[in-house]
Amino acid sequence: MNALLGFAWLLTFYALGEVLARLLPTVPLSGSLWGMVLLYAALSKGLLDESKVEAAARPLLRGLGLYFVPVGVGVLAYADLLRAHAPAVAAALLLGTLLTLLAALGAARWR
Amino acid sequence: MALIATLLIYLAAWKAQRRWPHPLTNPVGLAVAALVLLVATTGYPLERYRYETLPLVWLLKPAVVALGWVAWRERGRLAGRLRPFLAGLAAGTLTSLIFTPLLARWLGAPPELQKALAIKSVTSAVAVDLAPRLGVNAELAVPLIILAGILGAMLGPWIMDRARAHDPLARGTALGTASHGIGTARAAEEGPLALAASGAAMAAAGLVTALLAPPVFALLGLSGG
Repeated sequence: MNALLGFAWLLTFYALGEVLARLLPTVPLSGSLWGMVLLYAALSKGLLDESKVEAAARPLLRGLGLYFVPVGVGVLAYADLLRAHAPAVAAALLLGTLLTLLAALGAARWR
Repeated sequence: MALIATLLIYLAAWKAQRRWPHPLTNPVGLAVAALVLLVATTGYPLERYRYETLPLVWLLKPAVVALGWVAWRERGRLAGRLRPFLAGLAAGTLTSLIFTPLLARWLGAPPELQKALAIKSVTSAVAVDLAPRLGVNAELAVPLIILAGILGAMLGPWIMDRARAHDPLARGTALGTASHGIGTARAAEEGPLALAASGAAMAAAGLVTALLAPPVFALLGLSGG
C-alpha cells in the first residue's frame, strides 16, 4: 500500500508542478522539474512521510532506463542526418564529454 | 506488440549487464540498438512503434519528480561540501551547453544536431521532458546522451586518475554532471560519497540545464526552430 500511496504523491507533485509551470511561464521549467523541486522542498520541511515516497520512488527509478528506450528507437528517423555528420558528432561527443567532466572536476576541487 | 517487445528486450539487456557489468553493456544502449535493428529489418512502422510505447514514456514524468527524492536523500552526505559540489555542477553544465554545440558547428553539423549535442550530459529523463521547450529533437538527443554516458563512464575514471583527482566528492560530481545515470552507476563502484555526489549532480544538472539552456541558446543563435 505504501508504494501506491507514494506513487499517488509523486503524481500529485507532478500535477502541482504542471500548475506552477502554467502560472509561471517565464521560468523555463517543465511540470515534472517543478514537481522535482517541490518534492525536494516538501521532504526538507518534513511535510511528507519519506518512507512512503521511497516505497514508490525506488522501484520507479529502478526502471528509469526502460522509459526512454522508445524515444531512443525514434533515432531511426534521423539515421541519414547522423550518418552525414558522423565525424562531427563523434568528435563533439568525445571532446564535449571529457571537457564537461574535467570542468566539473576542476571546479569541484576548488574551495 | 511493440510494448511487449520493448519490455522483453530491455529485460534481456538488463540481464546481460548483470552478467558482464561494463559501461558498454549498458541496458538502455543495448536495448535501443537491438530495437532499432528489429524495427529496421522487420519494417514495423515507426509511427506505430512510437504510439504503442507511449505509456512507457509517460512514466518519465513521475520518475523525474522522484529524482527530487534522490537529491534529498543524498543531501546529508554532501553537507559541508555544498560549495565545491555546486561549483562543479555549474562549470560542467555550462561547458557542455556552450562548448559542445560550438565544436559541432565548427565541424559543419547543422543547428538541429548542435542543439541535441548541447544537452548530451543531462539525464535522458529530463531531456525528453525539456526537449519541446528548448526546440530540441528528443529522438535525436537520447542516443547521443546514452553515448555521452558510456564515454564518460568508460574514460572518466581513467582521466581523473591521470589528473590526480582522488577526492570522491569531486569525482562523483564530475561523473554525474557529465554522464548522468550511466556515470552514476560507475560512481557507485567508487563508494558512497561518490555515488551520492553523482546522483545529486545528475538530478541537479537537469534543473541547471533547464534554467541555463534558453539564455545560452539565445547567445549562440540557436533559439527557435
